[in-house]
Amino acid sequence: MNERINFFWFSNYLALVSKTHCILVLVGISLSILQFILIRDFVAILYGEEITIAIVSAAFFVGISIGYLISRKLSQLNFERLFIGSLFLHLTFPFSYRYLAAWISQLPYSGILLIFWLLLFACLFTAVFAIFLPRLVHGKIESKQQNKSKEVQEFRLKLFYTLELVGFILGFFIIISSWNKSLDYLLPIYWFLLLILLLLVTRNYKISAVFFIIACVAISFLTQTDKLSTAALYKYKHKYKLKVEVLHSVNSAYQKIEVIKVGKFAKFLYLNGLRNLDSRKLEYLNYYIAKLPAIILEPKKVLIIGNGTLSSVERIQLFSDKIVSVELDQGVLDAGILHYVDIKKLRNIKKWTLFVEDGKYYLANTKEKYDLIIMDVPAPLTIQVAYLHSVEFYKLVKKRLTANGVLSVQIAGKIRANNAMPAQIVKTLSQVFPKILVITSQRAGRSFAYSSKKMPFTINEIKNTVSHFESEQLKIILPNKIKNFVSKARIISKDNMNIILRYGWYRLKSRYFK
Amino acid sequence: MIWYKLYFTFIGLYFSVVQLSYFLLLQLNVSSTYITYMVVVIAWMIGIIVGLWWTKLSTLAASVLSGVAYYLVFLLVSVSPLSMWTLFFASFGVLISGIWAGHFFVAYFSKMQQADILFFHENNGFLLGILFTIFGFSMHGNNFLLWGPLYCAILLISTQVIMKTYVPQE
Repeated sequence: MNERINFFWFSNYLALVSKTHCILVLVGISLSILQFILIRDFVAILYGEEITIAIVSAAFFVGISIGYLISRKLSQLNFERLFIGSLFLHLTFPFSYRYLAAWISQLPYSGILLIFWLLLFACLFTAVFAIFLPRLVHGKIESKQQNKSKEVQEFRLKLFYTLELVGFILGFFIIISSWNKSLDYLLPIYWFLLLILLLLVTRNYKISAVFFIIACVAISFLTQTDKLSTAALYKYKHKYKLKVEVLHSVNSAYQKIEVIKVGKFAKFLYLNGLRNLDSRKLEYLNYYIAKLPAIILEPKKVLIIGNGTLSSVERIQLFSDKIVSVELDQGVLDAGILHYVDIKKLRNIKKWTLFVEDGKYYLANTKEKYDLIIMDVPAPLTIQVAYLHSVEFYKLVKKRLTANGVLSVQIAGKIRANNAMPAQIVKTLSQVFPKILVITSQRAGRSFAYSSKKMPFTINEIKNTVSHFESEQLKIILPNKIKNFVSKARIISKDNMNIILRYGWYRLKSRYFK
Repeated sequence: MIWYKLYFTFIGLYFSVVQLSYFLLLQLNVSSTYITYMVVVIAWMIGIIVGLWWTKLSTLAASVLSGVAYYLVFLLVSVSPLSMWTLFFASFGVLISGIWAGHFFVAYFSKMQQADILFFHENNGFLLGILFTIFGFSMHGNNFLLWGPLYCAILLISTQVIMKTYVPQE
């Protein structure tokens, strides 16, 4: 009899232990996926400068802190209510927070309200997962099996925290499988995991069945809700007056990538909510950054760093013998191939090679020298991109240029005397290259810098070449005049990237706290 | 109790600064690809798991190992920048630094017996560390990566000394 009781107790204990183990692994996976979805989406909604990324990440951790704070103060009933409520709210992903953000952005004091919105959602969704670990360590959930001895609790802490971390790592691999795919791949997996979690925690089949049915309905409309809510966000938060259509929306390994069609013709590429490309200006951008120097130099070898849309490759193929493109983000390449270039034409360019690689790593490890290096990367609003505008990076570029080689850079705006971003980029270039020539094109809506060890090209060469394209509105700053524009500008370097903070804060303030 | 809470916050701050500094260090000096991020996150978590179960390790040894590993990786990537092989060794460094993060929870849970307080304050520190690192790195760049973790370690040691000297009963 005793043996039977012991066996019964043991099997019950085993069942309980395995259930708790599963719960903690699932909590870890859920936290991992949730962190990815929320941070990516919230950063894109609030526009992805480094300062925004820091604020959104902090909000996620505030949610976790709140979860820890209330973990042992909640009764089992209140915990289950909160847990069930929060899990059902997860089924409103991604439209609930997007529509709310779009609506808030129309209101006065939208900055303060958006911060409140961010914290509210971070708490509603994140806190509930942080409640588990401390409660389980202290045996609060499995009240019948409570064991308050010090050794048991310490063992639980070790085991349970390990399981949660294992879950977090597993979640990481699920996220990797979702890269360059839209949310309608990751969300159903996430909801399925939440369903199992709901079943394990509440053991309530009715509630779980309701969750399952709502999840099935939500999944069947997910593609539409994802696109419609994104379109609403762009229409109201980015304040587009014409019809907005979402052509492409994926999360890559590095950022959220969206291609938005506004009106009948304009196609915008957004990276983490920041406008990277306007199809109407693409021709001008590619002309000044790539085609113009290629026509004048007729380079044997050209290296293009960035330019994920690959749209400049076609423009320069007639003028060069070998073209190498290096782009970090496969997701941007996919968006470019789908919406900005004709891949069949590109594949026929035999002299062109593409590397999906980090630009600085490529430059440091290649032995090739190039006659023209084109840097088509976004404005330095994050640490990663700011490095691509730093003295250290430009020194790497200089090493890979031939004696008459030229570096062509778009400088994230029109240069004015000591203005924040363009002047800082040109000042940084001036620390590495003796000769810099800057062109400001009204049509492209920005300035371009051409840097070299010698004078890149003469003013006549530029005027003769550009005359067929844009002549009246062009402003040219010659190397000897550059100093007047950058005398007070700061240099971007590995030791000073405060451009990220200064400009990020300025943009955040002007956007939300006018 | 207040000193313990403060200490847990500072330790969270230290872990956050070290982890993010590793990430920035490797991102700038090795590669910006997702592999770098993966290596830092996964190696750190494995380090925590090792620290949770390595009972014979003393707190002093765990903390010294954490700091030494960071500065060895700093030295390695400074001497040999933009070489992918350094990432392999760096992953061990991250793992070793993460051991203290796991060991800390076991060491202080046996004293406090309150997992919620422990996690809450450590997490608050981690949150502060994220902001501190982003701001610190933006302002001081590489110098922050060199001195930031050290300053946080000094802050921790000072708090520990004050705790031992003035509030031994806690």
